[in-house]
Amino acid sequence: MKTITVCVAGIKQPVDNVKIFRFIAQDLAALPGFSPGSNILVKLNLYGYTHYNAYSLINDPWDTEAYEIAVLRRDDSHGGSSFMHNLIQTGSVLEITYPRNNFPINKLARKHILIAGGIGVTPFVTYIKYLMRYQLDFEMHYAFKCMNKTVFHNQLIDIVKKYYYYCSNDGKRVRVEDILKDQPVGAHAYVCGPKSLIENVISVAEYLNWPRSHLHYELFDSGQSGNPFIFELKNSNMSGNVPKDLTLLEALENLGVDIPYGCRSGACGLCATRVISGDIEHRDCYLSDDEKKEGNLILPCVSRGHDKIILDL
Amino acid sequence: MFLRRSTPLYTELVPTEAANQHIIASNCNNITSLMEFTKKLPPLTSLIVHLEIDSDDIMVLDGLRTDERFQVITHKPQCGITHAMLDTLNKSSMGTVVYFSGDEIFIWSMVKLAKKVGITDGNIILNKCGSKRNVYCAHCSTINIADNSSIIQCNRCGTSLFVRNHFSRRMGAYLGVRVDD
Repeated sequence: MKTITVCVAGIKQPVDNVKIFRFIAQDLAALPGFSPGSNILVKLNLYGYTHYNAYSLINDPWDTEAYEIAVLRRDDSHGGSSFMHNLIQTGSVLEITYPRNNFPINKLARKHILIAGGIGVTPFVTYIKYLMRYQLDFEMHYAFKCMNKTVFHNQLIDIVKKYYYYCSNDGKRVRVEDILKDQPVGAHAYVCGPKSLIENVISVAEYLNWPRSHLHYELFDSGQSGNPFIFELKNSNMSGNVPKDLTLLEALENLGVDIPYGCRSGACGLCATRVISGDIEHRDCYLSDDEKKEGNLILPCVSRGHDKIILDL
Repeated sequence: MFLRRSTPLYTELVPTEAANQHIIASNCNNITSLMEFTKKLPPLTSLIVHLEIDSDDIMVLDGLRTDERFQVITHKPQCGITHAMLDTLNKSSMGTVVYFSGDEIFIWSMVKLAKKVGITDGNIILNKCGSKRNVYCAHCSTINIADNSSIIQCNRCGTSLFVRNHFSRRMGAYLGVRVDD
């Protein structure tokens, strides 16, 4: 995988549990341009394994001097976010991938409806810069737990005209049906956050007869940690184990198995791999319910096996 | 006859169950099929009909206006249906299904409007009624109004054109190429 070597040029901590890292290229060259909604993978070496964490870029897409990402410290962290919080300092050198975008803005939409849950707000930071610059019609819905631990809320309240927030500690819950109904034809909805929010939006949109092509989502908080399990590769006669803090995809990569991948968050389906036997704990948003029931495919970037699975690799 | 992938497929005029609003634009004189449509309409959904008709057949329109959920607007041929339809589409909400019933010239001019406001193919139902269609001359780029004959003469360059099943959605026309002498 082709990477860019970057230095950490600055770290900000707007709220207790979120740090914003600013990266510049080590050779001080301009970084590749990117489109709103893009993310990068940060390469981390944890417990002797290579690990890739995906983070949305949050800086101005027209500013290629630096990249900025926001990292939430999770209490149940599998290592990546606590590593970023505890060990990365100004001046640290990291490897990152080129920006890629699995969550682009639909440029033909008549109206854009952004729905964020928690740290899933990050891709919308660049969306909003773009939508405001081109004066496009949009509204932003942001659901979070605690006002004091929420990043970007204060900025959004100031700059976004149609901004609606739902703080669950104040007893306010996002009502997806109220958001999606009566939107004008040609509207596109974008959702980023926990799986439950995405599934909620998908089912409400389906109920309201929204065409699937008008709905876009990016899964955050895929919860990579889980029970350890063993995998076997039937065709290449290899086997290995997946520790609790690693994904199956990362375990395969560490074994030298080359698997195509895209989002690494269970949304794009590029890494879908055939399963010969074994129970699967599906955690993706890509496979249909029927495909999940059949149990012939797994998305190794997020989904896990129970005890032992045999893959057609 | 062999159908190309570009050849449009037309269906019966039947309401889509999942839709929360239905909009019909029709220049088809087959009012019976519209009446049938309204009978099958799921409850709690509304219907707007834009009808391009020659004469105000009061009886028929009264038949369509039996329910307060239905709004029927009539237009004289070539007179205002496009503007009125665009206005209706602009005010419609996500989940709306549109139905275009009529000859292919009418249908594809309406599809253009629907696409303009961002309605996707899945929510556009096409019902063909009548034989008028557009044929694009491959030699002089004229779009000819034709019937469903397989050979026509281009109005501009006079070339005899064989009308192929190759259809352009952008132009709403079939491709006409010179018939071998």
